[in-house]
Amino acid sequence: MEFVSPVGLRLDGRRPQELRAMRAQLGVLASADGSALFEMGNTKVLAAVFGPKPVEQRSREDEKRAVVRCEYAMAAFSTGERRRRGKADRRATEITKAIRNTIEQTILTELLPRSQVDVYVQVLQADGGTRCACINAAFLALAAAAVPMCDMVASCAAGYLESTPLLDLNYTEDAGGGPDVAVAIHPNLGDRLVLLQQDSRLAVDTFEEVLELAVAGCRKVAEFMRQTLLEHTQGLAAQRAAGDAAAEAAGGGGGGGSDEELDADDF
Amino acid sequence: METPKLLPEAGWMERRTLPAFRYRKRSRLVMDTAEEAYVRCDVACGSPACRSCAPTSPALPAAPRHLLLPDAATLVGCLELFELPEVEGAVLLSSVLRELHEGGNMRRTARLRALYSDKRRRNFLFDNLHCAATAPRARAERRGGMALLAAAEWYYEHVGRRLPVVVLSDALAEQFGAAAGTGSAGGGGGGAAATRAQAAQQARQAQHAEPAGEAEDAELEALLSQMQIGGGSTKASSGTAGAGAAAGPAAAAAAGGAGGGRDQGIACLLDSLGLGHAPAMAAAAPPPPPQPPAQQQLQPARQPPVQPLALEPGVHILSALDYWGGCWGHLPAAADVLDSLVQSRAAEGQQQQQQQSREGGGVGGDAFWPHLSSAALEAGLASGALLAGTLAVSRRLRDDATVTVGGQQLLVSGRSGVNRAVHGDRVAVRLLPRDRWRPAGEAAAAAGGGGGGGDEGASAAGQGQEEEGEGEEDEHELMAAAGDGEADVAADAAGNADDGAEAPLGSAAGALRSAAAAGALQPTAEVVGILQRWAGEAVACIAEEDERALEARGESSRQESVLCVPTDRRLPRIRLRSRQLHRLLGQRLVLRLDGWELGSRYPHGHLVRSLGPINSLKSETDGVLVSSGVHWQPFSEGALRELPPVASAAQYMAAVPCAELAARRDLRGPQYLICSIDPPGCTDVDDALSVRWLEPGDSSGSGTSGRQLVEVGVHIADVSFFVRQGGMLDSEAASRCTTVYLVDRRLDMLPALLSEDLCSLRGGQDRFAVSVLWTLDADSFEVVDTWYGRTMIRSRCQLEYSQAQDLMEGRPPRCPEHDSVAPADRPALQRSLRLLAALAEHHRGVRLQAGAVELESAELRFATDAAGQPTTVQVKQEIAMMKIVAEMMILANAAVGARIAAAFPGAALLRRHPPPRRQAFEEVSALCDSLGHPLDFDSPPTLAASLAAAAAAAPPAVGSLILSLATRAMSDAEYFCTGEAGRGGGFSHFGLALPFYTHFTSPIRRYADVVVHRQLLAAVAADAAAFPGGGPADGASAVGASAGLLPAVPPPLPGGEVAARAQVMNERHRTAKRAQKECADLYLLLLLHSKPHVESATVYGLRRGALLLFVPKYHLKAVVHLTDKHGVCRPPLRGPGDEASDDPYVAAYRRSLTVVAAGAAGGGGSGSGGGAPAEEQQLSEVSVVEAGCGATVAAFYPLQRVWVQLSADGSRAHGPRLRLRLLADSHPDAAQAARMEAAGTPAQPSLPSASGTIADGAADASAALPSGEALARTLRRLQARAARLQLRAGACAPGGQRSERRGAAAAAATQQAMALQQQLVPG
Repeated sequence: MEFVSPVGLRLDGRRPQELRAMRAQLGVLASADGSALFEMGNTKVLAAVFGPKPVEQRSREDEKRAVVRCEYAMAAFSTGERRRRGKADRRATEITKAIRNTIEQTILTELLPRSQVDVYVQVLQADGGTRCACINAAFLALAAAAVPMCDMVASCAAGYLESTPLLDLNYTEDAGGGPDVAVAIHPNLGDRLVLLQQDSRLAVDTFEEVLELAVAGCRKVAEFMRQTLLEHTQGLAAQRAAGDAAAEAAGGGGGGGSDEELDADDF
Repeated sequence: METPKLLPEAGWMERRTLPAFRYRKRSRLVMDTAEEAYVRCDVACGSPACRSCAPTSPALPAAPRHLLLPDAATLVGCLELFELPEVEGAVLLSSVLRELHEGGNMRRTARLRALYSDKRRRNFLFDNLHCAATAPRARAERRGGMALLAAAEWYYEHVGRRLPVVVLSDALAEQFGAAAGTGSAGGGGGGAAATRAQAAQQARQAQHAEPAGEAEDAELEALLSQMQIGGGSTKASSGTAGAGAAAGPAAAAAAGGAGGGRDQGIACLLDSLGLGHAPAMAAAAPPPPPQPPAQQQLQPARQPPVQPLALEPGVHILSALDYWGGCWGHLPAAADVLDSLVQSRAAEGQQQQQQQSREGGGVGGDAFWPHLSSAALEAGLASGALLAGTLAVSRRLRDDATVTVGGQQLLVSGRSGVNRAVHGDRVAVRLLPRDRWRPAGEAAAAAGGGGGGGDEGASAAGQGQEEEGEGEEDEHELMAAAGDGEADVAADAAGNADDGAEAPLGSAAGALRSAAAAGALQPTAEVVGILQRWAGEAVACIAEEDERALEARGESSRQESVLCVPTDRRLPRIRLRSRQLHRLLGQRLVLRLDGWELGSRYPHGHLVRSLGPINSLKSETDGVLVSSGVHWQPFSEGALRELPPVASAAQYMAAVPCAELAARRDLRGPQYLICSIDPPGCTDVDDALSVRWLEPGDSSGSGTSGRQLVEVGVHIADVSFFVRQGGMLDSEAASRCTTVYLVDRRLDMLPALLSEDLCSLRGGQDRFAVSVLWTLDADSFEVVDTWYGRTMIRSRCQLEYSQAQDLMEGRPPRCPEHDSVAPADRPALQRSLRLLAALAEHHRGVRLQAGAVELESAELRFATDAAGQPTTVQVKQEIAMMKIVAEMMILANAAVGARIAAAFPGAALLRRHPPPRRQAFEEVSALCDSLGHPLDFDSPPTLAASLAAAAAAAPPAVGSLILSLATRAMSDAEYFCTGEAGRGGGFSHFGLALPFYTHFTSPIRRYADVVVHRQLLAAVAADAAAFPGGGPADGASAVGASAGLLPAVPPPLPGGEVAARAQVMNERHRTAKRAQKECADLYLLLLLHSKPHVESATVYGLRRGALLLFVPKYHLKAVVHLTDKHGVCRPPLRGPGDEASDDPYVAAYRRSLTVVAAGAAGGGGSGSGGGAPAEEQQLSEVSVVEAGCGATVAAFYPLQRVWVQLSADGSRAHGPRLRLRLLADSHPDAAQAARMEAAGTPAQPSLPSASGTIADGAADASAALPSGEALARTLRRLQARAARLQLRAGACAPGGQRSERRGAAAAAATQQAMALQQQLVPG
């Protein structure tokens, strides 16, 4: 089978420039300050954010900015063959760094001196594009935790197989051996590139084409996440209105909880 | 990014996830995964008539008669049929392709892909997995027939319910029985009809619900009635199965058994589809496999319960055989392919049965059997029940091999027969019973015809298919390669049948002898044990599929195994396990075989080393060295330490001790005019010549005044002085044995300091030498005295052949500034050279008189560019001076040979050349016969004379062909030790016609010469000790030695040691020659690969479906098959467009041609002991004929001149391979080559006269033949010969083998005479 059939359909029925179906859910964990579940096709990632909070290890404390810690792990059942994957293997370390770099550039760390933000990302189901899904999930969780950020960060990958640029490769396509360009952008800051990773060689012309496609995919992801956040906020607002009404009905509730507020329209 | 790119809106409407699995081939792991499917409604149907779908680029035909939806099994099983250009309108479903992919059946990926991506084929890939209407909702729906049927119904619906849709599936046909796929019982047919009726009924109900569809209804009605008739009749026949005939249509059914009824049902169905070819079908449809009656009885009970299936009325399920037989049976190509498919299926079934029935089983999976234990093997060999021999695998069919046992070839065929032995193994075989022997001619026909037809053709085609994965079947081979092909096997077998003297003992041998007597059957055998594994190294690379898989996975350090494809086609693929496979991708590897386990399909091996990237010149040349067994490492430190501690020869010579100088005869005086004559650019000069004119009184010994005496010297570099016997350097040289000259490098036997400087006899510099000095009579060349010994020489000048030639003929030097000859020396040199020329001529005459054979072998010279790529090639030019120098060397070698043979009768190292076997000359003698110069085998002189006469009489191209064929027919010369030569053959050298011969003159590049030097010097030293007193003793030594008066001298090496070394030398000599030849071949092929060349060639033999060609320019003998591996004709190319062999339209044209062989005199089927090859030799014409109209496209006769295009195509695994295509005279390239030849080489001897008489565009057939008067002379000779032969045939005992052969020869001669006459008449 080829990756793109003569009529232009990929193995899973998408066209080359189509993303997989996305789904996102915020606040899925009660224990975390912010959490999100993000799906891109069959890739499913859970992110949980703890903080900002005081720095645990005093030696690491930075009086100018916040410390961002990140941990990435794959569930043992996330791939077809069940096997325990450590947090410390080469691949995991690399992805951890990529995620931490990306979100560190996004969080306004100087606003949170002497504090720490912990981000845990867990891959529940892997089907290609996990690092992009992780970044998106982390961003959503950070937003849910109301960590101040300069912009949204949206991530997406594009590849190049059988001389066609393909957006958002799934596992089969990823295993096809072609280059895979993972990109994260700040969509509201002029599509600023935050992350660019590539694991194979590409001609310059082709690279630009693929990069452009990946950035366009990122914008689409950003659009989707913005919508999700909006809905989430609206849900929260509705909840609070209902809570306020209930409290008022109960008689004279305080006006607390304003720090929970998230102004999604900023993005 | 100024304008941000915007993505289109996603076009899918629904996302489904289905459980799926991933299969890891190597770890054999099945993993459950979930697979996404984005279902969409914009999947095009591919029909250009459809308005609702977007037009697609590979599209279905505009007005198809029906659409074809094959299932996976049919698609793979009948791929060849789908590839026919006539077959179009096939809808390939993505579910079907996926199924094939998941089943790991991806060997035909490229062909499948071509099926739906080639626009001309008008097939279409329909993505039914993602089309909203057909996408499966559950995994069960995706598999097998369900998806197929769903897609078929959708298509029927989508294209407007007008077009019949045929689902091609054996499984579905069997299950739902529209045309009862497998069984031929009536129950199936009836059931099918019932289903059909049911389905139709349901459809009718559905249609009643719809307002439209009157017309369809009527059609449906018609179809239904037809079906019911068909069904009814089959019912009747099944009802009255044994009872006899029934009325009406059932009569036919009864006549053909139940199958007839089935056929009729199908015929009706096909009729209704608008593609019925009932009569054609009746003729072409394969007969149903005969079933034993018992099974037929069982049939009804075995019928699966017919399931009711609601199908659209226009959707028909047919089994593959029914469909192809019925719809395409009128197409001969389709019928052929179908037939071979049926046959191969039948063969498969048979093989399985055989495997099951063979007792002792216990082998899982493959058809291998345990080898016998070593004790059993020994016992078997001792008792004669088993035979031992070396396995030689055929290059054409890897599963066929031969084992030579006592001169008799045994055929070992099939994987199970070869039973895990590989080429080169020494195996024990057991003779198979007589009923499994094969006709001797069959093997030859298979080899010659390239799978021409019949059973052999089918099996060859099957073979080709099976090996598709790693490339292609051999079509052309260098003739040297074909030398061990079956044709020769059969020839040898036939030849040996006559003498059969060396047949071994034992019962098996007895059977063999009787086989030899019968002659017509080729004995077959199977391998029961391996006595000794082939110890060589295989040059290989990782199989392409595995490499792709590895690349896809990326680097991993897990241990995995891959298959490696050896460059040598005779070796099987080798399984290699390694953790570092990713480093071996794209590399040429050296592997060693470790073993072959019983349950494994392939042997396993380990990596020896990696030579470098595939297709790089260096690694390929290294590969040649490895595969030809030349090992080369840098010189060891110990060896280098033994070299004199000097940087250059000048330094060494300045400090030579006086004692050494005193021990040598000093030939540096002005009277010794010493010069060396070598090819241009030679750095290791190991011989020099000198001539000194003696004053009448000056001669030593018996100087009779009045005679002009002359001293002629041959001076050879004194290598043995520097290479001390027993030292490290000596053992290094002994293990290398010879310098190997490759196109791009030279593998030295001695370090460069010796070979290029200290020992190289350079001009103007003092050097040590070993000299042979003859004192001769200048007129009669009578030898007065011979002196051997160490000398000190200073070569006056270093000449090149052409320079020496010019000098001798008195021409001024071509480039005076580079000429090293002092003008003062010129007259003396000229005089000396003339004397040498005369001397050489004299000796050559003597040798020829004694029966020396002048042989010819071409040496190709390549010019390479900076990157080492060959740019041009030419055959080495022959200069008269070469022959003179060679003759002088022969003279010296012979003299030294005689000298050491006399001195060390038990330990001299000599070189002998056994007389050739007569059988080997069959090809040459046939050729000479056809020229009218029969060979005379009575004695060596007559043979040599007749050979020379034939070669001289023929046109030059043919003449050199004769000589090179004769060269190949000769046995190889070999080194031997005189003490060990008891096994017959004598000491003499046949080719040179000398009683003693050895190698003495090239010690720098041959180790044998070093040994001979030592022996000679030891002999001379012994003389000197016996006759102290200088000069006279030397003169007496030759006399004394021959008289046996000398005291016994201990030889430098004992005889046994010399014999062992001789063996090694022979072996190394052979491998070096092979490496040189293979390297030259490689470069030639690379050159041809970069640019195809068009050359003229001469047909020197005809086979059924093949021509034996000789290309004089490269001295290349090759076979051109007129048919390809499928038995399809390959006519001469008429234009550049014809070359696209995969173009279906060219293929269709080719399929309309057949090859006709004519003039198999004496009747092809006589089946007498004469053997097939003898008959084949006598084909007088092979032509390509258009089957339809009978027009001759091309005809070929012996000795016809044709144009061929030589090219090479790169195969990744096997390196470049020669491709020959015949060109028609009208081909622009051929025409151009002809023009160039006519313009560029008017001096070529035979052509001008011929081209003068031939009209424009006339057949080239006569171009190679002499014209006019010569032609008439040949004609007369031929006629006379024919008459003579006929007479002699009549004189022989009637019916005897000889008489038949003579008769055949006579007929051939007559025919040739007639052909010539025809040519003469217009001229």
